[in-house]
Amino acid sequence: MTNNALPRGFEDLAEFVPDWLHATEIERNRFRVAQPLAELKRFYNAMMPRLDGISSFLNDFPLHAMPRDCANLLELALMTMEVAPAVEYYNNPDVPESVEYEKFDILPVRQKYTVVESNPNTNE
Amino acid sequence: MAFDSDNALNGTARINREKFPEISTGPVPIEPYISEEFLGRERDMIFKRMWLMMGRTEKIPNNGDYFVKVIEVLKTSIVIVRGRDDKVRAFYNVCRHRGTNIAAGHGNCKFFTCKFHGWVYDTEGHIRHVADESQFFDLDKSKLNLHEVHCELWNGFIFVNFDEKPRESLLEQLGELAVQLNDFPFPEMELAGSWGATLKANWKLFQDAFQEGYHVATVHSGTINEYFTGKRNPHARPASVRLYKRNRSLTFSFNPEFALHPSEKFALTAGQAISQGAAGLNIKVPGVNPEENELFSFDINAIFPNCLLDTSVGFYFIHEFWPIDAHTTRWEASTYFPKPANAGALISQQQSVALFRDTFREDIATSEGSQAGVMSGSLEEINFADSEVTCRHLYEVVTKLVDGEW
Repeated sequence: MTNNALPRGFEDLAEFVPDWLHATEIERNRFRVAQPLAELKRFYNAMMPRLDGISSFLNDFPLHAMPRDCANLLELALMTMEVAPAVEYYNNPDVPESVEYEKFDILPVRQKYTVVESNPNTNE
Repeated sequence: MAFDSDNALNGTARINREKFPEISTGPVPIEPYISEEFLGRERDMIFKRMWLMMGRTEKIPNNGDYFVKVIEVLKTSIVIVRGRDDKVRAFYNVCRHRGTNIAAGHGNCKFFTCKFHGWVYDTEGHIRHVADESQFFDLDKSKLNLHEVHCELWNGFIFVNFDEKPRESLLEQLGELAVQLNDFPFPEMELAGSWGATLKANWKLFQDAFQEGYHVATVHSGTINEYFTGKRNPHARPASVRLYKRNRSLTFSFNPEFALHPSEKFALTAGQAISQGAAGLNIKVPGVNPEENELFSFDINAIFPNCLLDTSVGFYFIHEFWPIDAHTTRWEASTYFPKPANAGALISQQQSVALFRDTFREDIATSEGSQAGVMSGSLEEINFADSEVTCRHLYEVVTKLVDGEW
């Protein structure tokens, strides 16, 4: 399995891999505010109708042992949540009215899932 | 209760004026928000005397886990550590040799070793080794343990007190809030998001931005405004307010006509009980909504002096406001959710984390401008509405303490 794989049934989202994969909130937010709004909308529109399916598919895998392809899919879903306020509320990549971006610190938080690099149960 | 009174929400009734006649209603002088001399009195009469919230015990789960907290207003730094006996203690981060810091950041250790000359202390604060000890003169090592700071725990929160002999216990200081919040499921939750900023704003003015709903319709006009406002409550008046001796608590209701956005709809179905709309599920959580207001959204609970502990259905968040000088504050916020059981729960939590963060960025947007305004020389006083009674309460509690009342 390559690092860029997605689980079977989700191959159509491959165009967003690996660019939209980011493991932390800090990286996801930095990526979001650097994208043009049209790109955020394209990603959001591709992902949002798939989220229920993604969520029920991923729920069969424990968070403490996510196969790489599932972790990729999970990170796309987490990125969708990061992008949602920009598309649903602001119509702008970043918060339009705030203090300068550099003055706001996103502090580190423990990652809630662990990737196992090879797993015989998927993509057999 | 209070919420179903259309008069209270839409009319002219001043509910807090009637409920808290002892709280003043006139203009408030700006000196407490701009004066270094006033901050000096706050330092001596408040920050050196009160129990101060330092963080959660989950931050240091194992023996030897520690973190350093720099408290600029007291010009000091402390290390909070879980000892081999499992007890959480706080020490001045100061070597007894020549005063150098013995720790930085956070981590795990068996011993703290001073980087200057290698003096060694254990995690219970005892001195364990003095390098080249015979070169000292009549050194009494039994008197060279790290200086300890009073440290008490409540419901997994770590508090310290810098007074030589604290005037009241932590439980006395928490008072009614400790009762109200006692059964909230804090231990089931873990850190999901954490943010900070150091801004040009007084610590009380900064805190005020997070303890009233009057700003919601304007500051959050692009985001969470409609979740709280709508026809019944266009200015997001609080559903209920409780003012205690120094602490305070207020409850906000949500707008039942609020239409969920797609990500919010997803989060509600895929997750556990998550912010927007979760209140509509009518889930009962212990320790919230003390006056049983309809359409409960969340409680703001202000632990005097500088901590807000806001509780809701399925999450809570903490705000800390640390003065650096009279017009500069370090703000840190963190949000806690139940440990995600599966990917769906984790994804749905991230919906709230991203939206909380973005709305907090809106909240802090006005603080520097307000501070510049009160420092402009053009104002002598500011005005608080009935719905901002909590801001007035903070002002009154602070001024009483700095004037020597206890």
